[in-house]
Amino acid sequence: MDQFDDKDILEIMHADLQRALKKPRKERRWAMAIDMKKCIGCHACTTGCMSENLTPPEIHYRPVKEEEIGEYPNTGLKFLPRPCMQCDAPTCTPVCPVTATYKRDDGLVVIDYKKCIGCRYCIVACPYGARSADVGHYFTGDMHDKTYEVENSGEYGKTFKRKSHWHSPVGNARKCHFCIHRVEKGELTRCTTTCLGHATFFGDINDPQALITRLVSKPNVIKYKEDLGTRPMVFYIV
Amino acid sequence: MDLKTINGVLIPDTARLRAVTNDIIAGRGGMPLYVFLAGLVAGFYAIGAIFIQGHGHTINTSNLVPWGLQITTYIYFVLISTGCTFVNFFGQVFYKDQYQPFASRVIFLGILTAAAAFFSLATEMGRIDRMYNFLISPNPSSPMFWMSVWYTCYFVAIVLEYINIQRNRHSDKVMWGAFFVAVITHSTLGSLLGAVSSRAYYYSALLPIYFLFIAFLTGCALTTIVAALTVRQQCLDPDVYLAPFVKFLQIGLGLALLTGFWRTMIGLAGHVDGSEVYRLTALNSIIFGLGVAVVVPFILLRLGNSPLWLAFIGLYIMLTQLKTRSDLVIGGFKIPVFRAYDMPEVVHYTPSVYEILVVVASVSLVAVLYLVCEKSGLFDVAGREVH
Amino acid sequence: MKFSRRTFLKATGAATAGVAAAVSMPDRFLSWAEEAGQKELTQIPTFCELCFWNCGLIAKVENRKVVKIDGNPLSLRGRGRLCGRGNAALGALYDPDRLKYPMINTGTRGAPVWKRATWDEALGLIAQKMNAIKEKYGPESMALIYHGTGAAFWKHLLHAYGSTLAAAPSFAQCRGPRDIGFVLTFGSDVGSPEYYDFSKSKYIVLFGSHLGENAHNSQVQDIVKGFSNGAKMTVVDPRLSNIASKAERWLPIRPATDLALILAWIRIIIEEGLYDREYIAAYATGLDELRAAVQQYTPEWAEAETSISSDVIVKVAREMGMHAPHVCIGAGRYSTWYGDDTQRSRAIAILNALLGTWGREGGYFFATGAKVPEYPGLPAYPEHVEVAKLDENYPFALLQTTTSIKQASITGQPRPVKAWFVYGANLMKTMPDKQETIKAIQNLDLMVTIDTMPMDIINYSDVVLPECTYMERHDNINVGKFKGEAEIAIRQPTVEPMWESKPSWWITKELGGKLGLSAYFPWKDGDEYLAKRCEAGGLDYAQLKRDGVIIKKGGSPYITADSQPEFGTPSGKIELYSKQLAEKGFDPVPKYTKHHQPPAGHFRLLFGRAPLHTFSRTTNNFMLTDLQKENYLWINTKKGKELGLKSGDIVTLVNQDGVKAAGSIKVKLTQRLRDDAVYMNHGFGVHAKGMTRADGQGIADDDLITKYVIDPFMGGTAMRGNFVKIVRGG
Ligand SMILES: Nc1nc2c(c(=O)[nH]1)N[C@H]1C(S)=C(S)[C@@H](COP(=O)(O)OP(=O)(O)OC[C@H]3O[C@@H](n4cnc5c(=O)[nH]c(N)nc54)[C@H](O)[C@@H]3O)O[C@H]1N2
Ligand SMILES: Nc1nc2c(c(=O)[nH]1)N[C@H]1C(S)=C(S)[C@@H](COP(=O)(O)OP(=O)(O)OC[C@H]3O[C@@H](n4cnc5c(=O)[nH]c(N)nc54)[C@H](O)[C@@H]3O)O[C@H]1N2
Ligand code: SF4
Ligand code: SF4
Ligand code: SF4
Ligand code: SF4
Ligand code: SF4
Ligand SMILES: [Mo]
Repeated sequence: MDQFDDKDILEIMHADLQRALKKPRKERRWAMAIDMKKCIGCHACTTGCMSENLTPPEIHYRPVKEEEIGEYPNTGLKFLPRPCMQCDAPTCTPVCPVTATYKRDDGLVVIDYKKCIGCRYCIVACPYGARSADVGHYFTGDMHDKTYEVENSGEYGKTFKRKSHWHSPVGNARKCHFCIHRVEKGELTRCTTTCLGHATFFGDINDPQALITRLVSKPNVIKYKEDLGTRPMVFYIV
Repeated sequence: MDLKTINGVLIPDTARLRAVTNDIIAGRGGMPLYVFLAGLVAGFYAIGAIFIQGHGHTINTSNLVPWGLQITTYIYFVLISTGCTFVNFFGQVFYKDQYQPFASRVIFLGILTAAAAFFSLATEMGRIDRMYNFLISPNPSSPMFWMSVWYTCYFVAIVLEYINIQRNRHSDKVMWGAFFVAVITHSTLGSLLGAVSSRAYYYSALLPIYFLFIAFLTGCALTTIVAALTVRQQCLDPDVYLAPFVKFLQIGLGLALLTGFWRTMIGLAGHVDGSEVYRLTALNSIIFGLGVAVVVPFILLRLGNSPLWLAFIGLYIMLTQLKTRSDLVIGGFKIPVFRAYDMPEVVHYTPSVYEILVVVASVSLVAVLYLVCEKSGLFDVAGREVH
Repeated sequence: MKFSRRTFLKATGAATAGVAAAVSMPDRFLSWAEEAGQKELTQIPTFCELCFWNCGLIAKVENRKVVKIDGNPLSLRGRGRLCGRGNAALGALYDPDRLKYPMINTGTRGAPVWKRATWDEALGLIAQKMNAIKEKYGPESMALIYHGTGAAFWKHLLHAYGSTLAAAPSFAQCRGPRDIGFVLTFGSDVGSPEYYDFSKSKYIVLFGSHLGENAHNSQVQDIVKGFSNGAKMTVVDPRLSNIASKAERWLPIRPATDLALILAWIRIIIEEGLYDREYIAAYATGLDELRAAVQQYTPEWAEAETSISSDVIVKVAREMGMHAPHVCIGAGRYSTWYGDDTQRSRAIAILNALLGTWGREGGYFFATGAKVPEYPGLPAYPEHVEVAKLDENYPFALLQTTTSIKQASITGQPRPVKAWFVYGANLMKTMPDKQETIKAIQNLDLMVTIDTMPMDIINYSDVVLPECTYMERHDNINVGKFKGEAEIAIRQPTVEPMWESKPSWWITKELGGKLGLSAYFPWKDGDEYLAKRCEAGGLDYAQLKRDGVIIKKGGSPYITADSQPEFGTPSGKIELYSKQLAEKGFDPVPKYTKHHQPPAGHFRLLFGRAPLHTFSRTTNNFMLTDLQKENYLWINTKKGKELGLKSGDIVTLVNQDGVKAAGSIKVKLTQRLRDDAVYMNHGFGVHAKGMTRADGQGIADDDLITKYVIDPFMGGTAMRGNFVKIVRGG
């Protein structure tokens, strides 16, 4: 990892990002890498994402799973942060009856909140548990008209105010969208920028120069539930 | 009797309908009707609440259990509807005259249950107001999309079949058409679950077949109840007229046993992610799903064949199959595909009162419409003319 | 007193902080500090108070509501990143359970009946009582117990009133022993944020210090940087902590025996000549005495004490020696463990000294400091009347201790303490032996709590004053010392205070007015207070408001030819042997004392931090309870199975004194823990009705800490000496 020791990785990835944004959209391929050696299990990415996307109770786009390995005293510990894998061959999109969720030309799997009928089929179909149903819960309960929860999260670069259960994304499926509203403005995803372990990487893997491309081309990279043939765009460095 | 028809299709006579209404208001509607009316009121209240308050306040489904009792009810009724079509088909084909007195009732029930199914489904959708997207933004790769296409065809087909029966203008084409459309529609529904590779509990080529067989069974069960009551009411010879239903039930139970057994066995042998759920639920699948829900009614069938007994068995199957349907839907979610934080290792789901009331509403809807139509003489012709 | 920030911003032409930020922040940082203008989200920098690390954050505001937050990339404490808790700012700000109005207790302490009061009424009552207490017992009988940035205003009020009695639990219940251990050895402490040069370390040793769970933001970043740069790490912890799972070596030590291990390491390092001869010769004194004193601590002896094999002990010592001086043997932070904590910390300091890590790359750096003068032209505090010192018994209590305040409140010795102001400290959970704390409070004439949440502590208060959260107020200036840089940070309101909550600068000013101390509170408001201080310190206040922080560059962080270290010890050298300790009757070189181990059927009760919570402070934060709402009882899997327990079982705990914890807790069987101890997260088991999400969730370690040993050096209360039995059922 020494090649980027002295420069902050955020700066490097930020430069990568600006380069990617200059290309036409279909030539980009957003990917994420999570270095499991560095992930310290702080869950900052989980709450960072909650705060960025104003997700309601029980919806976490990026939970972190903790797994114990081995037996005392030869115990190991593994942290597995799980955003949406932005699969290249997703199981979620083919099942959507109304093409509300689909794969964009830059590989991103998105949900059109204006189309989604809330059938939840995609939630059932995703093998990673990456999707959630927004049924209209609010943390602040009765107070919610006064607080931030009805404000605009800017997801997908659009304005959605969760004012009631007739206001999307309430009633819709939701999931991690690689913070595309930030990315397209030239900002890295929130989980990347808040990661205390400097373990989360983001960028365009169609760019051979990009840090992410350099990282994922190494042999110590695995994909989660790879055997399912979903071809995730999230890479785990082990 | 002065029968009213539109284009040859019998509709309830206004005068009788009024009479029935008056009877009902006067308290002479018969106990069951009032019970179901009450159910309908409660059910509609719940559905109203679901739409007005939103899922967040009314429904117990979650990310871990995205589909709950409403989808269960949907599947349950939709399978019954298919079953009615099957019963009609096999009745027409194999038992022509013996079956005739029930034909219009059976198909009418097919329509009612299909409507009730949709009713239940509608309450489950996050945004029912956006259903038009099925038209303007269809996705041909989605089993759910095809389900909706076939569902529409199916609905048209059984309505046509109903019209034909009512007009006493039997058409083999329509009958066969309805049968095949039913097969396609509900095996597609089976594939909707069966094709979900991420859930070991669903993922199986057996599922579409299982759905068809179960459809037949539950259709038989409902129509048996109706047939048994009709036989009693119209003083038909039960031994003659109920024989086809006994046969159907036996076959239905046999088929259910076959697919149920193999689904469980193959599942238990599985070693993919999530197939633990088969082991986790093995006892329930075998003791309840096969024993209580299939073998017991089979034995019950051997114990007697009076109309009331058969009606009881029908009811018994209906109830046990509702639980089996729920076990199937919920089973897929027992083991979370990704577990973090406080997520349980095994997910438990209890439907909310509202969800239960949706079942009540669906059941009551079918029952009330059937009873009212029956009282206003909708099915009289068919019955009488064969006599 | 009302002012509008918005108007002020418009007036100064800095229409939104965001736009201004866009101009001043280096381009490269804007990537994650959302571009202004794209959305009408106004960006206001401030800093976090979900723990004392105080990372810089940027609030994004729309319709006078904070919608999102982000890290402030200019902040040295966070470097644009926020931890799992810090990201949950909105859960603190918008908690519907917050304290909303001043309240007066018309019932009794412990069984309160609340009456909503106006500020005027509540402060009037307090002022009246304060005057009476001053009259009867003298001003020094009023104490402030505090934790948090806003406490500065309360200390100011206290001093103006005539008392100097102010103590923070972060000393006697937290890092006091560590600080004193290092002060006794190096003449200065390790700072907060600590001066660990982890990112450059070649070898790191930690005792406890469960970083990752303990989410010290920049420190976690540094240590991860360190090990991705190839640093080797050994973590000594009875439990495989998050950071231990990243270490080459995890030494699951028998709890309470760390000092044995450290002394054995010292011995090996001296005996094998692994220490930095030149460094010791130049800067230290007492090597011979040290050598003589540690002879008894052989690796074999240490193995018997600690249960760590002597081979491993020797190996680690050699590895340390090999990588010296680029070694950081962490001093930890929470260190009131077993009662000999100052000595343990001193032993760690000595070990560092031997390896020459103090002032060396990868060891401990010399931090750059900064000063911001007080508000100019304040009158002098009233002349201090010399009264009996409370901490007389603890000669090295360099800060006042909550321990002595509690004792004096109970016994009246050496002098009575009759009033407590508790600012931002939930003492019911924070101090050991609840019954004793309650007894002390019952003796008071006045008990005031200034808090944001209806925590356990308010139930014992006469008056509760609702402070607005850190997202809604101006506050004291925050100065942080870092490697080669110092940070000056401000807190500013991102939205108006909700309900009737008020910032401390306002509350103290009003109360000061009622006490006739208006002269001490000349500021118009928080903004003017900060502006004047900045002006006095030659700081660009506009820049500070825009960027949230101002960074001052400093000198070399390491020892160089021109930057030689100074040691504030009596000898001016690193004291391996401490004469001042000998004079006061303490062991001049740390000596091992054996602590009790749990009796049969009992486990030692250990506790620590949850990554997503800060003590009890966040237990009601809805974003955080959504992820973790209770604590679990960690039990070694094998041991648990022997006891017939499985994960998820509900149990409760009874301690050695027969005290049963209120409520129940779920078992978590784990391979990550020794079998002679159980472990849980501190902060849960809140007993406060108003905390709707937290009340009664999990078990409180503090319910079970009825026994504590006081560190004779500095009055710290050691809390890990309690043993518990597991009882099935709730
Ligand atoms: N997320 C989060 N972070 C926090 C805080 C928070 O509340 N939440 N609080 C902050 C504060 S104020 C402080 S003081 C720090 C405290 O954090 P630390 O200073 O890291 O606390 P420790 O007590 O050193 O660490 C707890 C670890 O010590 C281990 N331990 C217990 N007994 C022994 C023993 O006898 N020997 C050894 N070697 N290890 C032992 C426990 O198993 C546990 O893993 O955390 C700070 N950071
Ligand atoms: N049993 C046990 N005791 C311990 C520890 C332990 O691990 N176990 N840890 C020890 C350590 S390391 C420490 S540092 C101490 C910490 O002790 P405390 O600082 O007392 O810990 P908290 O539980 O966070 O309580 C903080 C209080 O401040 C309030 N508060 C939060 N924000 C604000 C604000 O902006 N303004 C005001 N006025 N109030 C605010 C909270 O509502 C809460 O009541 O506890 C020590 N005591
Ligand atoms: S992880 Fe799940 S939701 Fe995301 S693209 Fe893959 S299948 Fe779809
Ligand atoms: S929930 Fe929405 S996105 Fe998912 S399958 Fe249904 S319509 Fe498509
Ligand atoms: S990329 Fe954005 S949406 Fe996805 S997990 Fe990270 S913060 Fe959440
Ligand atoms: S923020 Fe980074 S280090 Fe922390 S849990 Fe998430 S991925 Fe791991
Ligand atoms: S470490 Fe976390 S909680 Fe503490 S100040 Fe920083 S962001 Fe806030
Ligand atoms: Mo602390």
